Amino acid sequence: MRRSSIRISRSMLIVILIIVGALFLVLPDAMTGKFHDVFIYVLGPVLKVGPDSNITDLPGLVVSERKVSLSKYKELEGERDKLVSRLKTLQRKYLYLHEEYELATGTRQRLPDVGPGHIWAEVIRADVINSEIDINRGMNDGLKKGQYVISQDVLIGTVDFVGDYYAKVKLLTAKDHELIVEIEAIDSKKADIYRRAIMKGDGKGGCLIDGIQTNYQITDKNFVYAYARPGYLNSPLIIGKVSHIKYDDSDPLFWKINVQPSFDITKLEKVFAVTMEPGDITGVNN
Amino acid sequence: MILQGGNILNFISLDQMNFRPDVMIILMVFFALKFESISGLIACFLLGLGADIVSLPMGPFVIAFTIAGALIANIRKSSVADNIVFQAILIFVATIVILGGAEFIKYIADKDVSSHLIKRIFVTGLYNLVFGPILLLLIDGFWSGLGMKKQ
Repeated sequence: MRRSSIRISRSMLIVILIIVGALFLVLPDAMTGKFHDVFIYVLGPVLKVGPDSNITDLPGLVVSERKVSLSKYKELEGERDKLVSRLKTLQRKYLYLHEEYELATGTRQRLPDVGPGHIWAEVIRADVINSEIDINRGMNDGLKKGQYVISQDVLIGTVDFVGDYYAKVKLLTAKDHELIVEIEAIDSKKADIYRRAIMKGDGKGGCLIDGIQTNYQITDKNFVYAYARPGYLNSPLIIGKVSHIKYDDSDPLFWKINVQPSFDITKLEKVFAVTMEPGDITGVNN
Repeated sequence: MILQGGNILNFISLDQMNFRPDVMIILMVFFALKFESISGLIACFLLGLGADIVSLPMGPFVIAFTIAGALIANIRKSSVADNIVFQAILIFVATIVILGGAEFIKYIADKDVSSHLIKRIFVTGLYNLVFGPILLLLIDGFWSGLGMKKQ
């Protein structure tokens, strides 16, 4: 049986080869570029033998001004990655500062005048048992012992210890914490007043007020405020509500009042310290 | 391909534009003159493919080398084909045609076109004009040394 042979003429071969070239031309650069990448990858060390050229558009290599050599590309890629990381850090810092600004301006609008300055701080540790928190501000930020600390729009405690870069805040509910407060009451003349008293922490997440005569009418749900103490607070600031009231067992002429502060230690994240000039820590004798 | 894409030829490059002889074009002329028609065409095609692999995008040099190789193959049997002066001029013309043709193909295919085009084409052509015959002699001697004869 005769084999049929296919003969290609010279002209036909030229056309076929040109068509193959045109096919390479229309294929995506990402696909055809792989040949170049393999060439560079396999023969890279050999190609580097000799002096580098200072320009990118070498005859034969035929690149446009926008293209660079592979090594230059890698170098630029590394620099780009560094700049992207720096940008991310700056963006995060901007958002953090913007958040602080929004909180500060928002708080100033909602609360009465809290004084000439404040420092925002983050809670770095919360001790539920001892009713204290550590914050990331200290002496170097202008904190002093006795300054009032506010969070969630209520007074939560006072600065108890100040290090260079951190401070301990004793919460209102801490066993040995005392504070002058004002409690909503109706006096014997049926007038609404704010009766001043000393509130102490009970060490169990609440506070106690005693020493108020029973001729003052006080019910549960009455609000309790931090007294506007000169040097600490320019105007009263809410602390919590009366949770339970009963006659004092030791002296029935006085009330024994339980107060539930309005903050939740487990949800404390950001606080701010009122940076005025504190005097006596309890102000009891003021 | 190593000479074309590597740094070795930078030893003899000219000017800040780094003008170098285009070795692939010189080889293409050699194979087009040396080999019989079909083999020469395939050799030119493969050289064009190599030139495209060295530089991007792929396609223009394949087409330009194939067409130039086909044209050169028509004169391979003429009496002047072995004349070194003729070969030098042929290399110069082939360089202009191939480089110009490749850039034109890139332009119509909407690919990136090289910068300083005209200067590069002519200076490379002139460089090939001088360097080409020397390289042709070397390759010819090497080829003959291998026992290969002109087909």
